Amino acid sequence: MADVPAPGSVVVSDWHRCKDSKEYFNKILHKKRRKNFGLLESPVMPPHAAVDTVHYKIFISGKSGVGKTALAARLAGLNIPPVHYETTGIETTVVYWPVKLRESGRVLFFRLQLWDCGENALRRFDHLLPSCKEQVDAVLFLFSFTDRPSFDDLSNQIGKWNGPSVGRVAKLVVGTKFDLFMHCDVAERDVRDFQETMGLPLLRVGGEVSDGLGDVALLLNCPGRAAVASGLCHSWIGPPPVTAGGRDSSLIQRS
Amino acid sequence: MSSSSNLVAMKKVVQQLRFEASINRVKVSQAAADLQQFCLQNALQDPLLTGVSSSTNPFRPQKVCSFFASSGALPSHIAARPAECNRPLRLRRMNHGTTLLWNRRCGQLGLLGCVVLTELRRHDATPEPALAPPLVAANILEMMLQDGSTHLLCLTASSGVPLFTRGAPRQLPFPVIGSLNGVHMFGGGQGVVLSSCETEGGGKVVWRVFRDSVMLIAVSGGGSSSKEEEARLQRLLEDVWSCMVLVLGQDELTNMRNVERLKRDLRSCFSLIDQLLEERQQGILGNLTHCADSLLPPNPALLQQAVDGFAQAADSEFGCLLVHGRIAAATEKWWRLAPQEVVLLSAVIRSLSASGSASCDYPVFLPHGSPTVAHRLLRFQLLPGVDVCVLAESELVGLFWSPLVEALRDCLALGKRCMPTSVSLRPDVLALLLINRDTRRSVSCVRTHPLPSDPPLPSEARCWELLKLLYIFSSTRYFSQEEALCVSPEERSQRGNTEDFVLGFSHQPLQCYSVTDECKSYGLQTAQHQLFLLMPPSVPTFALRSVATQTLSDIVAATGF
Repeated sequence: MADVPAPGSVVVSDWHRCKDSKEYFNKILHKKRRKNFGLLESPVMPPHAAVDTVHYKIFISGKSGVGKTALAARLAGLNIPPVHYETTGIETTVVYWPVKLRESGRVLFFRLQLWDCGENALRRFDHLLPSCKEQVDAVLFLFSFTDRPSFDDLSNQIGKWNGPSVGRVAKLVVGTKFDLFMHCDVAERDVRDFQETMGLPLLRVGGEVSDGLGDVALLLNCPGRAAVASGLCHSWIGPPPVTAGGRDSSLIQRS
Repeated sequence: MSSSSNLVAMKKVVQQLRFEASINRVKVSQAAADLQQFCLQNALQDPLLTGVSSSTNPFRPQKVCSFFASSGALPSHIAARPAECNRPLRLRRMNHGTTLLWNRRCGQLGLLGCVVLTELRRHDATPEPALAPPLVAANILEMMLQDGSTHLLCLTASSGVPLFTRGAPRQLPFPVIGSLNGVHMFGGGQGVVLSSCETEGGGKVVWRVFRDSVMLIAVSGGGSSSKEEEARLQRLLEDVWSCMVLVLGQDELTNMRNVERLKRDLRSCFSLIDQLLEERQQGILGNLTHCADSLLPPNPALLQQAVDGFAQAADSEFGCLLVHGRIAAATEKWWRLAPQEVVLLSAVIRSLSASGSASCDYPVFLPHGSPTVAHRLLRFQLLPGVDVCVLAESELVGLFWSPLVEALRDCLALGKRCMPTSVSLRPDVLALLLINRDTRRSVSCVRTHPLPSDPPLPSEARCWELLKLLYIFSSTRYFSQEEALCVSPEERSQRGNTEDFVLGFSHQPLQCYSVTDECKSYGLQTAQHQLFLLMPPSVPTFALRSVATQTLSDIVAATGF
């Protein structure tokens, strides 16, 4: 869509590789692995370098078995479950990620709350989808490269999020299991065509996750970028509505 | 040498030539006509033209079939062997003898009939219709049983359609599943309920039908003594059914309209069921004891207050706080849930907590309290390892819990000790399990740094295992179990067989001990508590009792557990 700015135009895209980001990224690492934050915790910077935290709610949508839970675990740097079990309710995962704004050079912590809900649970219980949709900032539409129907269903899924009732929500398409090219069921040409017609950013993930940040950085910056770009969030960046550094920043409620 | 052997060869050639010269010669046309006639005459017996009938083919693969005898003559005798049956059968091998225990519908248990499953070769083509269903491929079963794991099968009770199988790298082959169902069905036709069976190799099979809709079958390779193994499998089936109700609700399981859809829906229970089968988390004994694994926090009043307040603010009466997967504090109503539900909910929360997600909203049914109406189980990870849960809606996490971060960290620091440091355990206690019989709660711990000694003491993992075995041993033999809440009278009479000792004597055993090479153990029962202790072999046997009583009074005095 027209209002999606070019990659890297709002936040510095590979900031995690720069030296000056090190002190911020150290706050989300523990013994070279990503730190797991409870709801009462958040990355705390020393008082002189306090950083604001911006909250985003991101819903992960996709067919059953497409890899929603695995993607959430991957983004949070958690262990990807070795066996596939259905998610029978909503699970949310919190990811903290420091970003640097390109224009002002200001550093922010993104607090991305990923909402993952099993497809079958959504079908069986009516109350789950409304709570996932409530005040959502971005949606990740997932399809699996090994599952053609999940790709074919995408436009249908995305269509459901276009109505006026939904409001302005940043959208992003993610193709999972890209590493299993032996079983690939979706041709590269189809993906390109799809991307042209829908005009949405599309990412490919799959393969081993090493403990480093580089793997996930691209993805993490991207939803953030899309969310920032959606305009809705532009207003947030001026005066951030949630003050960080204090304990209250980890409240589930949002102002 | 060579010349004489040459001579013999030459003689043979001459003999052959003479033989051929003496043959009566005929014309080719006549020979052809003879050949043709012979072929036409014998065409019916030519296997190339008509094929080989399977009864006369000596090369056909040996068919394995098993045979089901007796049960017509219930309850007069114990065993009926196939040989006693006047059927034209020839017995090949009988190395897979398998006995089944029949449990009559009236609830009285006894060895009323016995079934011998054998591998034999059948020569008659038409089996009796009544004997057709229970064809158990006993040798396959034996093979599967050897690996010592537990298999779980789920079928529809009415039609025997397999819904799922869990718990093994290799699936049980379909004929085996069909046979296990068939044996049960056959018993049903004879007016008996088949509850369990034991194979010669020590394997166990346990059947159970729930709500006339779902049949669960557990198959285990055995190992431990059969009585204890049976109790374990019975409990496993009960727990698996509860898991299924918890996730899907009872209505979905009993009103089966679309089997294919149910099969798909049942997949969502696999995570919990696998957790039950594998017993992944060390040091959690709830599945065994049906008592909630608890942790006694150093500052119970503070946490209790916070849990109560949090639950109240969330418009719920059910709230609990888990540290390291054990309940540190819970509202009064939470403790009033059936013990099995408390254990099951803890298991759900543990598995959610293991995934590392920050919060969850899971619809759950309560197997006893609310099997048809779903509640929302909300779980919030306050710190990694500390979860708070309510059964309702809540968005107030930070407000209530932020002031308590330090108290929570203190709880976390307790680790697997589960008891505040104010409780001083005697140095010669290796491991302990303390059950409060009134509240159905339990605390357990294994010393992580036992004193160095010679011979070396059992490892931590082994201590947990020994503690489990001690519990199973004492509770099946000496201490009666009371689970009035979740066991129906019918089931209790089924279970009654585990209490031989109790039945044989008019008094209740209060204490028991055992001494092995690895450690000494002591079990103690009072009106309110049960305590199971492991101690190093160096402790003199006469001192076991005083160590146990002192430990019990120390813990109860310090924590009021």
